[in-house]
Amino acid sequence: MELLKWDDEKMGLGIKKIDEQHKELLNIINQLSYSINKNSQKKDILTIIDKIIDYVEYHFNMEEKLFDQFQYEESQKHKNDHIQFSKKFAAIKNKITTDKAYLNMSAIDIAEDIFIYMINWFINHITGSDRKYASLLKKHDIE
Amino acid sequence: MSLFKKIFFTITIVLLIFFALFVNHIIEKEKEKSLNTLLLKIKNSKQFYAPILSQLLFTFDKSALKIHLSSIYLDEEVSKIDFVDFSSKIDLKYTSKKITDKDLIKSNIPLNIDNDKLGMLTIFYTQTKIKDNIQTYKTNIIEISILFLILIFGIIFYFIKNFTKSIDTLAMATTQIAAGNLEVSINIKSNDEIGLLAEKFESMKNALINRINLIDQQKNEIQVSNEKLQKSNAFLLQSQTIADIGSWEINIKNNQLICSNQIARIFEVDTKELDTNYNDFIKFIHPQDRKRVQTTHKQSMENKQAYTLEYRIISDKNIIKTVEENCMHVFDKENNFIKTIGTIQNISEMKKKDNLLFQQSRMAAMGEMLENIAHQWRQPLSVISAAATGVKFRSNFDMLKQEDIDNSMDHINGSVQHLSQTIEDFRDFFKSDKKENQFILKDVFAKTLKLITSQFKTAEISIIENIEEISLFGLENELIQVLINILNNARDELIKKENQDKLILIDVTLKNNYVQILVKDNAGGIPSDILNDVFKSHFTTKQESSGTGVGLYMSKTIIEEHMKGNISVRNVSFLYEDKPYSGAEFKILLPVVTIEEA
Repeated sequence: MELLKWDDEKMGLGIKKIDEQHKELLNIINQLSYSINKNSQKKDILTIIDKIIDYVEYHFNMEEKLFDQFQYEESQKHKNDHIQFSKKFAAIKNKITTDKAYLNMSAIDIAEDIFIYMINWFINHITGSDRKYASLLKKHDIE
Repeated sequence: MSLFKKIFFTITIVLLIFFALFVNHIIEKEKEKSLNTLLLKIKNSKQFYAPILSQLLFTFDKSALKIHLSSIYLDEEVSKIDFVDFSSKIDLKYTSKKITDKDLIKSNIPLNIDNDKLGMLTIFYTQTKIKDNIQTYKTNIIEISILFLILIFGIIFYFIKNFTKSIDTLAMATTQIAAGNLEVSINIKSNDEIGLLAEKFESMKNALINRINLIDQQKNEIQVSNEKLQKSNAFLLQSQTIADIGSWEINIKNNQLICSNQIARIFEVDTKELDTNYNDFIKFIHPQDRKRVQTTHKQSMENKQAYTLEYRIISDKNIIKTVEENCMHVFDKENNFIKTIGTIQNISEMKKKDNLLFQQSRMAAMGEMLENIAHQWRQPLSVISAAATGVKFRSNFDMLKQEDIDNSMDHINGSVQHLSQTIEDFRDFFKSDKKENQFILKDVFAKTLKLITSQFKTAEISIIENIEEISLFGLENELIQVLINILNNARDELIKKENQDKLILIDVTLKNNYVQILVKDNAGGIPSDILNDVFKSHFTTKQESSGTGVGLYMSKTIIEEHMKGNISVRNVSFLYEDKPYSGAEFKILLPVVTIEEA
């Protein structure tokens, strides 16, 4: 299957820093998709999941800093979304590393769950919530 | 009457008679002697007095005659004197002495001078004195005899007593021994025959004791072996009951069938009803199996060959039972046929269990397969899911082109076909028709691995195949089931190993008329204490939820009973790519059968 291509015009928020990060996130999601298609080994998929967690955390931190800096009014709601996302990933990570049943579970099962969740999240994030704070940031001439 | 009394009485009578005769004899002798003395005296007196008295008569000396006659008369033994003077000048007569004795001895003394008969003197002698003497003598003799007898009796009494005492002792001992008391000691120490007899008796007693001890010993031995025999007999009967196995025999002489109690129990009849002949027994056999049993039995009787046969019977209570019959023929040393013996075991329960086990194993295999199906499907399902997600993604960002849709649909179709193929593969495997067919072993392994590949990939197990081109005829799917079972066991063990390469090596080679399949892993091997148990039914090291313990048992049944091959397992150490490993190695040997042979 074709990889999901980044389109600046359709996906970009116009803020270079954030767009770069979103692009990177899509890149990681594509890696996951690739590994599912290739029926990769578990450890490769786990590496990708780790990468997602790290990167998303980094991205959220940056976003939240900006919210605080420019006193974004829906900051709390957005932060809650972040927390929800983090929780979901922390739970998955915890399961993968500690739960015996999960250890025997196929990596694809895990990867697929994450992939679909990530895609849906990506769509909602970029087309929905992120657009709101993007307009605020643009007013402050942030690029 | 006791021996003592008998002997004593006899001796007494003999002695008494003897003494009576003896005393009588002595007295007679004495009597004779006294009489002779008297007669001698009379003779002497005659010779002495005749001349003197003749002279005096001649002279007519009456006074002198008187004196002489008086002196003669003085003699106590003279009772009467008659003096006759033929001239009658002198008349002298002496008849005094009150002697009434009639046995008088008359002594005539003629008084002659020169042939002139002058007179006659007659002297009558009495025997009274002799008689008195004899009487006294008699008394004395009897007294002495009595004393002597008493003495003799005393001595005899002592000896007889001693003799009979020994005999009594012996008799007593005999009585005791006869009564069974062998501890009696015979204490007779004499050098005579009794002593000898006692000695012999003692040695006889000892011999008897030895004999009795020997008999006791033998009795004990017999008892012990008897007990053993009883025990083993009881054990045999018990075993027959427990194993639900009975025995029978047909004697050649009368063609009679004798059955053990357990057979009666299996057939649910009285033993007596079965002890008839083979034909009566036939009626219990299930009609569908009857001909087969009869043919087999008949052939066996003709060829004198043993057989094992499984068939059904209908018991007296109309219950269908499956039994296994073993039959053999017995010959004597000269190879003459004696009898036919056999056993019948009720294997209904075993059959039920076997069927249950087969079902269980099938269920277990199904479970495993479902797991495999789930795994196999996961990847194509993921592809479908990813394609759908991709379409949604593009659509959301308004980037969806016809090309993307076509692309995604192709992916989805491809995956669906994959899903379809997978389910076909499993369906092939699950086909229950146990039809034998010709197959290539390489294909069998390809199919096997296809069915289980995803789980092995997930577990990151590398399967290294080295399979020769061999064609076999047999039950393909059952062989696949065995291979899956062995491979899954290896996988379950390998999953437990972390931080190491996980290997399964498959080697298939042709050896003479056998195909040798070796499947080994590097999971360290099977603990030696359970190595011999892995093929037993319901043996499992897995937790209840994941192991039924029928897999390897069924594998063994399939290989050995359905495919007439052999399966074994051992622990091995081996090198792969110059690295040492150790693990379990399953070896399957299958006879190469071609269609023609089959």
